[in-house]
Formats: sequence, structure tokens, C-alpha cells
Amino acid sequence: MKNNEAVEAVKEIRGMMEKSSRFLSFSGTSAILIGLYALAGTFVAYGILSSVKDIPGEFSRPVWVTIVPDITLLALIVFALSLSTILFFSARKARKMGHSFISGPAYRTFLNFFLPLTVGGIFSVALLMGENIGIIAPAMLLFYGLSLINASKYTYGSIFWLGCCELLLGLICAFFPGKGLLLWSIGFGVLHIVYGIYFYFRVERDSAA
Amino acid sequence: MIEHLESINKAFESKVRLGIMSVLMVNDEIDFNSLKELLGVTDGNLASHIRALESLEYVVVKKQFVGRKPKTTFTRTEKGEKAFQEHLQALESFLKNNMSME
Repeated sequence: MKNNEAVEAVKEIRGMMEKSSRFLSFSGTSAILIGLYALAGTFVAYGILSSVKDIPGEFSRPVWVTIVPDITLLALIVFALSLSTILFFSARKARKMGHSFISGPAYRTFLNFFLPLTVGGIFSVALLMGENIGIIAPAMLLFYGLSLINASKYTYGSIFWLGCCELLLGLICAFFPGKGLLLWSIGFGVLHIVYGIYFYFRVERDSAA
Repeated sequence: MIEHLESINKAFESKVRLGIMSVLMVNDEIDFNSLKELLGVTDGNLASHIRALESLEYVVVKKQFVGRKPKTTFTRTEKGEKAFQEHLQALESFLKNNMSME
């Protein structure tokens, strides 16, 4: 056995282990896009928020009650758009690399991502109904961070660090009520764009070369 | 040097067999089609390599029906796991020795 044969064998083992246990059809472009959706969403939300501040004679009820339907609808649109973007780009990348999109690792990644995320979503609805508006933004950031960390075991490891950043923002957000929208836009907007760019240059370009 | 070469397992000299065992080390179970796609081999090719590993008792083949479709899945045996780990260690020490000689 020659040296390069042994190196080849080790490479083969590593590659097969990675490929068979991790979901690798993730595209950096989709992360950048969902970051942009989130920023656009925050911009619209900011407009909605500032519009109600000027409504006279609404002091008997908390002002936010009037905008809850609008904000919720906006959040759902951004979420649905983000989810379909991720799925579309992942399916496209899987096709390009000649993998099937539905595989064991893909299934495990999605299950492990959506389990904490769904719990967080329902929890946020409970917060909304209980009128605990101030902690919805930190709760969303925290649950999203935990979902990312949970899913990172079955996909790219670097997603773990994105999750940690979301957790940190969520905690900061919890201590500074009133800064929810700002930190939300950093967490769901800026961080995704930064991660998408990092991923595009560090992971996708290297593996394509 | 000689003893390292001895523990390099002949069964894993084939890239396909090495691949099959690598996949089975990180997945408790995998079905025929997923494995075929991962390795990029033909049905017949995969089947013959699986048979070789099965006769060495490194893998167990399980056949079952899902609805009316037959589904074949593979799992590693303890013997296969041990053989693969020894092979890895042998590769590792082989590489280490060669590096230090350079």
C-alpha cells in the first residue's frame, strides 16, 4: 500500500460518512434571500407600528391590539416566503449535485429543526393571547436559535454558531424590552445575510472547486 | 511497519466495500436504493459487494415488504464494526509512520 492510497481511503471514508449522515443540499443564496425578506418585513412592521402611535382616543385599549392582525399576517407571509425559498433552493441544489432531495438526513434535519420551532410558534401564540407582548420577540429568537442548534447535528456544523448568535440576541432582547423590532431585524435579517455570504464564499465555492 | 500492513483489511481494498462500511458506521440502517445512490454504483455491483461483506459476517441483510414492494435494508454487525475500526487504526498508523519517515 502506498501513501496516497491510504490518504485516498481515509478521504473516501470521511466523505461517505458525511454524505450519508448529513443534509448537505443547503444553499447560501437562500439564507441571504430570507435575510432580505426579514429586513423588508421589519421595515413594513415599523411602518405599521408608527402609524398606530398617532391614532387619537385609543388609550382605553392598549394600542398594539389594533395592529396584531396586521403584524401576524406580515409575520406569516415572511415565514411562508422564507420556507418556500429554502425548500426551492435546497431542491435545486440537490438536483444539481445528483442527490435526491428527500433522504434520511434531510428528514432528520427538518424534524429536528421544526420540532422546537413549532413549540416556539405555539408558545408565541400563547404569549400573544396572554398579552405578554414584550417577550414575544426574545422568545422567537431563543426558540429559533435552539432549533438551529438542534438541526446543526444533521447538516452543516456551522449552523450551530448561527444558532448561538440567535440565542445571544434573544437574551439581550429579553433584557431590553422595547428593542424587540431592532434585535429581531438583526437576528432574522442581518445574521442570515452574513451567514449566507459566509456560506457562499467558504463552503459552496470551496466544494465547487 | 510489517504489522501495520497485516491489519490493513483486504475486504476493504475495494472502494465500494469501504464505502458501504463507512456509511453503515454512521447509519444504523440503510436501504438498498439510498446506498446505491450514495455510492453511485449499479444494482448488480452493489449486490455483489454486499454479498462479499455478508459472507464475512460484516453486514446483515434484511428483506421485508413495505406494502407490496420488497425493501432490502442493511445493518453492520459487531464483527464488521470491529474489523472496520481495526482497518482505520491500521491506516492511521501507516500514515503516521510514513509521515515521520519523510
